[in-house]
Amino acid sequence: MNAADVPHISSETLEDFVLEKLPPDERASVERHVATCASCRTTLEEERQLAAGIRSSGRAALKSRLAESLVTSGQETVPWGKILSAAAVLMLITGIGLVYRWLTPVEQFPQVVESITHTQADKAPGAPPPATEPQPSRRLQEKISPVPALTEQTASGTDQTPSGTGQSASRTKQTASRTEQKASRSEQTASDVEGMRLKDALSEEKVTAGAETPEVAFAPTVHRSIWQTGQLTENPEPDQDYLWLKSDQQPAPHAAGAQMQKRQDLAGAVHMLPRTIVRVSPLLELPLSGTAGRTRAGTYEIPTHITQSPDSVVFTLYTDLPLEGQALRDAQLRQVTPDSVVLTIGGRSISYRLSLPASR
Amino acid sequence: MKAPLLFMDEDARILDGIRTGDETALVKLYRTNRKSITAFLLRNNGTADDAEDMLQEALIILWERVRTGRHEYGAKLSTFLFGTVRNLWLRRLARKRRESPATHPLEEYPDETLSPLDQIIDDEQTKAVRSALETLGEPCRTLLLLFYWEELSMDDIARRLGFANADTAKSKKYQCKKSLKDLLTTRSPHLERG
Repeated sequence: MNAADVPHISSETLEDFVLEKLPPDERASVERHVATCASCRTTLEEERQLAAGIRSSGRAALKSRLAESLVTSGQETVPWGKILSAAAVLMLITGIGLVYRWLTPVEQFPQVVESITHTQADKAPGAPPPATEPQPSRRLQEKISPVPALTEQTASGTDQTPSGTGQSASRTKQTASRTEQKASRSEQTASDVEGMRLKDALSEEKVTAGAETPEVAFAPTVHRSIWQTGQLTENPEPDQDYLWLKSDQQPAPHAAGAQMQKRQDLAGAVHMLPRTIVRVSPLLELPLSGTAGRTRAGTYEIPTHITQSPDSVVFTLYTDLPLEGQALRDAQLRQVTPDSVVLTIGGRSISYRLSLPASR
Repeated sequence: MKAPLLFMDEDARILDGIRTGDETALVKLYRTNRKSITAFLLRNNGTADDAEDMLQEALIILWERVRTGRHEYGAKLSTFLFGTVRNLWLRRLARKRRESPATHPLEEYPDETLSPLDQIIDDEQTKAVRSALETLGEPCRTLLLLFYWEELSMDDIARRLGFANADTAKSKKYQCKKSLKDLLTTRSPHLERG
């Protein structure tokens, strides 16, 4: 039978032929027919052009979206797989260091002020100071000149030695005496004076409390030894209320000393912190350095835990940022106020907004 | 307990992503193959821009093949992409030099990754079709894309576009196709040959 004798191929069959949907036998049949049918060849060619043109339109749209995705999802040097798989790089920030006086009116934290003012009076004259007396950092000591009562308290703590000396005992007596004399002054006045000085000293940082937040500030210094990278593991020191990170790196030779220093600082610092602690705003705009050294701007969700025990305050920030190595080790908690925490990470200063619990 | 996804073959994960319409899978493939493709293009008279262009086209061909069920999961995706880029580049070189691809040393490899439609997709006439399609309007444009590019069945197209049934979609497709042909005839009378 001649191809010219058979009916022409339907449009649907030609579509399926072009789109390669026909089974082999039907395909062969179409090819045989088209070979001898000029009009069918023309129709088939038209169908091919239509299909190719429509397909190229779909491709162009997808290509455009792909190009856009490549631009918006970062540059090629970003380790894409690493970012995806590193869903939770843990950042541990422990607020330690020395606490300076309140900027707030006394009545806002009566138990704290009581603790401060009774510190001197409760000391037995001549008694050696506790081993965990706070050690104010030299940096903040230079910046902040405390009120006389605190100066003496600090000096006593700073000069203390395990054996103690007559000189320090005498100074402690003088301190207690002077403290009692000054007890006649209002605590409010002392706090105000301290607050003024602290405000001056902290002017560099410019962390200003919001209009509705209490005028309370505490600014502990922080030691770097708290930063490590690795997986979260159990606390190797159950008596210390820290979240620890198991590090893949060898501990620094001075690590033990650094931890000891940390505990000492905390012991002195914590009793001056508010009993109810602040919460950190969960969403932060963080411009940070990624592992490739490029700055990646974006919004990152950072659930934050702040825990407090009688001898420690721990700020724990969980982030999916690809922070590691030097950037993480260099991170520092610079300042804490009732409405903000200032960190430096990757050479950048970042201010976390804090909100005070309503039940305070 | 092991998390199976972590141990899944990377190619399989990417193919799964493409099957479900996840375009970020293409981004991932792009990043993992860019260096080797660029090196290949630079060795063969191409530029970094050419490499980017070729790789994106190869990714789109992969996307089509997977979405239409034509991709057979045998070779590694990087091998498939490399072969496709090579063939696409060969065609482009041939067109640039106005010489037969057979004279080019790369031609010794068989072109298995490109379909007959892929071979003509950059022709002037297909560009005219593409231009006409853009002016065709909706729902004709989407309907024809779903049929010719996504290769969906009439049932699926009816569901996607809210037609009563497959017959309605088929009828609409006929009208749209006729409109497109009319547009082409108006713009390029030489196309009307039959």
